[in-house]
Amino acid sequence: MIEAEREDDASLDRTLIERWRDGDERAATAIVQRHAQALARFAVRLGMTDEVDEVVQDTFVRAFSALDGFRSDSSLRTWLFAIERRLVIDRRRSGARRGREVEVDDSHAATGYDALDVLVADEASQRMMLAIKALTRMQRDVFTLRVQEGRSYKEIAEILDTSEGAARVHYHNAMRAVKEFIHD
Amino acid sequence: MTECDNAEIRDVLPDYVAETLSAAQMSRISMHVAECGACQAEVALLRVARASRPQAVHIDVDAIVARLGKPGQATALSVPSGVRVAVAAPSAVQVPSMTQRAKRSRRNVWQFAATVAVIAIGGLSVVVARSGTAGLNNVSGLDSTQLSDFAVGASPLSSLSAPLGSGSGATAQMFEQTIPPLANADGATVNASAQSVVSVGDLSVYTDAELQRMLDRLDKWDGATSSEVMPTMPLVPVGSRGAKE
Repeated sequence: MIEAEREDDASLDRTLIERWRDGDERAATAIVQRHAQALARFAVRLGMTDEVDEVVQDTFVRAFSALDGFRSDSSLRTWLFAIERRLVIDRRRSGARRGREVEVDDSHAATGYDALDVLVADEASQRMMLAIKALTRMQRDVFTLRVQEGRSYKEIAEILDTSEGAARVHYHNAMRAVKEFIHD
Repeated sequence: MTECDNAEIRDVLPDYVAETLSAAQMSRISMHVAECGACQAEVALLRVARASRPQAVHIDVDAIVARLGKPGQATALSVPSGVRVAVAAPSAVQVPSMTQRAKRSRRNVWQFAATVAVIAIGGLSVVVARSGTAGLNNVSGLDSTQLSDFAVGASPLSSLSAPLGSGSGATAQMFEQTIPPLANADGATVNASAQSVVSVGDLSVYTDAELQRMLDRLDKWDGATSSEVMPTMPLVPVGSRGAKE
């Protein structure tokens, strides 16, 4: 059962957090190793290109500084995703203020895929990336979290600060759009 | 492209592709997919989507851990604004970061202080402006017979001369010192404190004889002691001038 597996993950995260609180520094390494790759992928999907490593670092630093407030109602990864997403949004805004980015729009999320194109030789995958790129920002975030990260609608709602029903609707709209793009 | 009518099945297809379902659920979905063309197509699509997720992102775990500090150490950083922090008991509550709240509060205090300062400065300006108007009102409040005797000239000093008559306050004292009693065109002394409004007219309206007399007075003053105050402007009661003309 998916819930049971998630509960195991959550239980392991809780244990690691407790160990870290008790002074075990190795627990921090274990937590970072468990979630860093997923956070890096999510950062790429959110449009980060050059500063993925930095965003992931900042996410962990922020999360660990506020770990006392985390009581594992949601999974640690979901919480980390939410923090990372806010950080990326803040960076975009400050970047836009400094004039580094002309404006914040959906196209930014696609740049990460462009950078990784060389890593994906398969034509079907290339087309899939284009299809995902053509989605709206919210659809893309929901679709990738659901399909590529295996998050539930409830978790997606927490990460993206929306409702579970809205996340479900966005996912099905995104799936419909991807199908149309692929079969065009 | 057609879609499967079974929304419940379609909802869990991503989990089926990720193989995160229980064995019983996996089996149930497998049986459905085997008979449903729409779900077969969707599963194929989901497998491609899952396979196309970015993989080669290098993360320096040691660098991250090094930045985390020691367990139990408080850091200045906090969760970014807008992130929900789940609290277990008594119920899930969305708690904004304390630092963010403090920042917001500090910003509000500064905004409030700035507003108060602007209002205070504005109020002070109004008071100053009104006190000037009050001075003018004093002039207009003079007896009509006095006003008929003395015309108010175009010089800005004319409005300031009004307090001289009332003799009230520091302003009046100041002007009593700077504008001394002077002899009028007929040689009679014009007491500024008694005759509150005097004419400070344009020199071009004076006759040559009058101007000469003024110059003579200035010449006489030149050798005067410092106890005598220098006449700053020719002050002549209009009535006496008008009578002469």
